[in-house]
Amino acid sequence: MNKDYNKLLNNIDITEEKKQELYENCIRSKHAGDFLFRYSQPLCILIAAAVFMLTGIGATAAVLSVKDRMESMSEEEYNDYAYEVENDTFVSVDEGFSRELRDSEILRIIELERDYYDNGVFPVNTVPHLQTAAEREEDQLAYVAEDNLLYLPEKDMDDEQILEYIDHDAKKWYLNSQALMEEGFDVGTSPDLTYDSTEIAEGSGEQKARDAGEKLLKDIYGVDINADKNWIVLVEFFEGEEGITEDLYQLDIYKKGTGYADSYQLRLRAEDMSPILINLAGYERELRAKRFSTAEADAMNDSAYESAVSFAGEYLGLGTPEDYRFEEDFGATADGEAFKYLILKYGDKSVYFGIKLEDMKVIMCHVMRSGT
Amino acid sequence: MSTQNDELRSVINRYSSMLYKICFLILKNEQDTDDVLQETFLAYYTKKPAFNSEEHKKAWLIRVSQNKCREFLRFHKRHERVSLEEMEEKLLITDGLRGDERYLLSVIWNMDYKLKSVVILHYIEGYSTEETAVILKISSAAVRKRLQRAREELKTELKGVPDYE
Repeated sequence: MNKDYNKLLNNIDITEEKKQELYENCIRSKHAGDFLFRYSQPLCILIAAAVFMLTGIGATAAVLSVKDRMESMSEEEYNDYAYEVENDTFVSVDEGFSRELRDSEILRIIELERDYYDNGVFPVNTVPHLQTAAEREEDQLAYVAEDNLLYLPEKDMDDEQILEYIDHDAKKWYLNSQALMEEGFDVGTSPDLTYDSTEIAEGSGEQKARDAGEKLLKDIYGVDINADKNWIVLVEFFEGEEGITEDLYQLDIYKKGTGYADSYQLRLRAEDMSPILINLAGYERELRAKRFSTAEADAMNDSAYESAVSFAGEYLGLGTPEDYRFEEDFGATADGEAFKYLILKYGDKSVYFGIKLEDMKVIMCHVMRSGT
Repeated sequence: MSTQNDELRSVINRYSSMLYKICFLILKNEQDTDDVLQETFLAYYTKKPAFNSEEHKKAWLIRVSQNKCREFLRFHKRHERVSLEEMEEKLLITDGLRGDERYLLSVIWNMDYKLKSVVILHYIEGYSTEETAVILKISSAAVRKRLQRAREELKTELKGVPDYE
């Protein structure tokens, strides 16, 4: 076997153009995010928020009790979770389950997550780690090592099982975040890993961005992030790259104890704090939104367009667009459509909108320039 | 941020070719390979990991790309895996290779992921069985077992091919 294996791959190589694309896409993705992807897989993004509640300065007593719970795992349980985390190769959360979570279960998870993290309501039992599926009892919630799956009961999970599920999730994320930090990840402003709002110097650009973001959230959604100490506000500055992006601030805003619930993302132009992106995310919003048949939804196109144009005028200082188009077949599920997605065109600028049909509220607005 | 961008450019220049070869051989199509490399470098850029050495960095990049390849193979199935013959029609992938070398490439091309990944890391990238085990997050014993199976497969497939018996 002492052949020149490298020679076999001489003709397989990346082009200089692709290298440049990789570089530019990394910078764009970090700055702008891939929102279509995020919307299509909300679970894999939002469940990460659960890790927020685990520790940190200023945490409430109930939050600390979750942390205590994590730290007081027995060696056996810790090792079971370490095995599970180490073998976790799933792209999204659902792919690690024996079946998808049902909407009714997710809504109950949202309610019980608040109890778990805010009030220290824990399950009586914990999710067992079994070697083989044969060991599992009927309708038992259990992790099975041989196929690396979390088995959910065929019937809907009851409250005890949902608490066990939340507990399992919290422990997995606890180990996962520890492992990442041990590998040297900078946890400073990573929503997956930090537990506290960004410390901001008075009068700094970050402070101005936070103030502008607070005002936007209050004006648009009526949310006052200063009224509840459980909001976590992360602020990060990104220096632009000529021809690719401009200087901007990103704000990630989550509430403690609500991994599946609503959260917000804002991106503001550093120069004038005008918004580039306003995004209301969250499984809770998606699941609770009223759905309409395709015909009903299409009949609302004019209203959705008017809502987008009005929003663009009020918050982006834009007038009537030169052109617009609706995104076809996007956002519809078997249960119908709850949202419409459309793009307004203004010269070299496009503004991407997501509109909730039930009340015509803008749930997403993203300003994009051609070539960026 | 500019320093970080410079660092990103430098890492792409240094490691993208190596990662491209490995991932292409595993995924057997250009588009998925491009996607995996994009996700790998994006992970590098956003996670900002700290490394003890350049070797540590290289191993981390390979590990992340391998995890992503495995995810693609397991879940995405977005693009059809292309046979070497079909790929040869599109790309000059075997140009300059002798007949026996082309045959060896085709055998590796058709191996399943578990065997192919250890063959690539051990024989092509030159990692020891222990290093391969760390990168793939499997035991050294598993690496040795897979290498043995891969050698048996190569031996069987290459029987009769001059220079490879």
